[in-house]
Amino acid sequence: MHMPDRVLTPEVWATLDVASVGLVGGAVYKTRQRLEPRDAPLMAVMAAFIFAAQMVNFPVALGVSGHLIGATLAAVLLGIGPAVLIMTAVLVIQALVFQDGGLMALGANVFNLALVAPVVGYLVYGTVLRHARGPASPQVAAFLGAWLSVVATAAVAGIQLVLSGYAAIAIIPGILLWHLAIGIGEGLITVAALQLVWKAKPEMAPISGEAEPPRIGRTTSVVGLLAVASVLALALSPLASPSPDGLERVAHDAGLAEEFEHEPILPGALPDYTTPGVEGEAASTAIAGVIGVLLVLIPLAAVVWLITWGKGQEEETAQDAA
Amino acid sequence: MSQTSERIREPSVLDRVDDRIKVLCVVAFVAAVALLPDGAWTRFGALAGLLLLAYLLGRVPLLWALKRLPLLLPVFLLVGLSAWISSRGESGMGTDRFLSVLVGASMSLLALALMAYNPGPDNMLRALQFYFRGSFLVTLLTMTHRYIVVIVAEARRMLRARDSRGQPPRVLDRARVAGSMVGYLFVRSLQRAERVGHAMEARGFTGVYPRGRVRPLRWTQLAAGLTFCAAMAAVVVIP
Amino acid sequence: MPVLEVESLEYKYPTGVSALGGVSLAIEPGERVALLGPNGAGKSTLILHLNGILLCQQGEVRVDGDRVEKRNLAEVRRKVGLVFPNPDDQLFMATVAEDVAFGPRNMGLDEDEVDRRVGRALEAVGLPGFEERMPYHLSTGEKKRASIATVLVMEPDVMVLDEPAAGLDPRGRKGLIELLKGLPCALLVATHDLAMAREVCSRVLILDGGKLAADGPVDDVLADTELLLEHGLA
Repeated sequence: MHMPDRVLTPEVWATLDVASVGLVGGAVYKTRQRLEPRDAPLMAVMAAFIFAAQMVNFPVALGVSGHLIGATLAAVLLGIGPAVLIMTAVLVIQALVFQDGGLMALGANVFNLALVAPVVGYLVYGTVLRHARGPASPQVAAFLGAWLSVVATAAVAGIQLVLSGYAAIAIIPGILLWHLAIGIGEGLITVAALQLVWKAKPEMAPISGEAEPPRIGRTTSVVGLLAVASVLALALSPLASPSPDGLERVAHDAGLAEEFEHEPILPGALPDYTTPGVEGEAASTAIAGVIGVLLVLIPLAAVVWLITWGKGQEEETAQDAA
Repeated sequence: MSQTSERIREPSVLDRVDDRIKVLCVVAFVAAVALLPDGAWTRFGALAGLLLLAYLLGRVPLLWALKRLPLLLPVFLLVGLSAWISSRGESGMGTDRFLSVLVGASMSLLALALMAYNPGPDNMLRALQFYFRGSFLVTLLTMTHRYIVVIVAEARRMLRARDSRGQPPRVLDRARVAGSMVGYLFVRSLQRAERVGHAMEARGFTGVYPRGRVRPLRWTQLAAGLTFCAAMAAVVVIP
Repeated sequence: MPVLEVESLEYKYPTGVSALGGVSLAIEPGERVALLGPNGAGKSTLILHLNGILLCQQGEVRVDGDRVEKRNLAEVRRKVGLVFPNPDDQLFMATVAEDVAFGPRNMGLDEDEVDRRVGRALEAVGLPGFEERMPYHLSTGEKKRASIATVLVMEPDVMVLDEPAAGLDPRGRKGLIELLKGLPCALLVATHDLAMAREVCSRVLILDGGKLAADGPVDDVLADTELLLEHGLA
């Protein structure tokens, strides 16, 4: 998950270094305005906690084990600003002390894991929570947040790799599939951890307790989720870029081209990412992109709607009783 | 966590260099490695020689550092796959790119490992405090590094206790157990954070790390450091 | 005039549970006082009030006759030093010297004076030459001594120690007792260790259920087996 140096090309890592310095700087500024003296040790101990929590692994199968990344957990428990700072501190220590992740690539790693991951996790968590007040909704919200934060992080990292000239067709589906699975582990651990914390510290629970639920406005939700969906769609788009890509060439060489044409093995990809029956390459790619966005958004909206619907029912029942 | 243990080592030539200059040089070196064009093997060789020289001068156990390299394996696999496919296609990365990533990422990691050995994490963080005076983030890093040792030890004790009782058969339950441990670790960490906060406040902490004596940087050291940086820039720019 | 006074101090947790129900006590300059009481008696809550980590909800705390308020916290924290039970919470800097210097630097002393004081404090707790050691590599006994140095260096009028003997082996405990006996300031020692209380202190307070149950000379209080049994101390 942590990118070493030189994997990305200079244009990509330098841009991300600049972006990360700016964004983390903004988070420091925003967070410090509300900081009390005892918040500094709080955040440091929490960063150490995230570092240690990433060591808590569990065996999955075949010697592979899963573990937490923790960006969504940090954001849900401590708020988005502190979560950004905490994840940044973890990544810098991992790079400088443990050589996990490169130094020039630090901006990329911070961008992916300390900015995209907690922001997406928090956005999804807050949006779902705002629409749902059922008994299990915080858990559902946290699971979706954690899961999507991992997938979005992988998508962003995939885009960075493609921008650095890697063969998209070979890596993006692999990375995304792998992280769709890893994300489930992240979601499970995050929810189990939150359940224990909310039980031990009821004042931190979002609905019954006094903890301020994340204040995410409707516009932020919609724009944010659209952005997440677009990034996912963008990550998938090179899959079917019209020029014959490496894998297809390999397939062609091996005489497999025919099978390929009939049986797209890549998930989520429209055939060559162009829409049948639409003239013009650019227009057709654009429409394909929009469809991709919708494909990601619709299941998400469905889940949110299902939970909201449950809430509406409850209210109606309550009114009937009254 | 061998990097953080207090190493009793013989003083070497490297110890005559100011820690802050060493940090500066490692950053310049890593930047140069990251900026070299693909396949510039002479220059890669020159930088690798320089790194080896630093390891020898600093009497840094090379074997210890090489053990860090497997961290890069998953990425090498990914890059290798990508390169292999591209070599069959017409665009994308070729062999030169692949080998440059392999060599460059390894050299960068070894340079960072060198810095973690000498001057070591604590002095490194002190150097950062010097360069970024009054930075909240550096204060945060310093304290985080201090408490990682404590909280990782706590996590290890919990993991040992769990593993001694075996794992539940279902993966879902294993994930849940791991999650509960993480939650428990959070609650304990929160309590610790509160106690640390109290201990700091009790000694008059007001939110800003007190500044100690700042040792001035000797100009000879600074000149040497800047010369090194210039040399690194030259290696990158001059073909 | 007492150096530290507590008058009808009450404290309720945010949950509404009462932790302290009207505690009053006074400590004279140079006096050595033990604070005994079962777990959950309110000792730690009381201690957190003594230099303004917690501010009084009811009643007041006076240091040198001056009421502890937000405005004089810096002054109060110089005069009343707290040593917390777990040295890993108390030692948060990278080296022993930096940790010991943390308080004086917050007080705004100049670096020469800080150096002098750090040297003196480490000498006094029996850790000369430990300046550049890292706190997390010290033994439990050494960590304890270093914790005391971090407070002693501020030259307080009163030092309050919460469970100073926790986790020490017999030799470490013995060394700690010798160290405490030699300290120049007034002491308030919260402990479960009756033998240590007898050796170090001349006066004993018993706190139970958030109220003071006894206050008297060490020999009288510790001889009263019935009283000790009643409060779960024997």
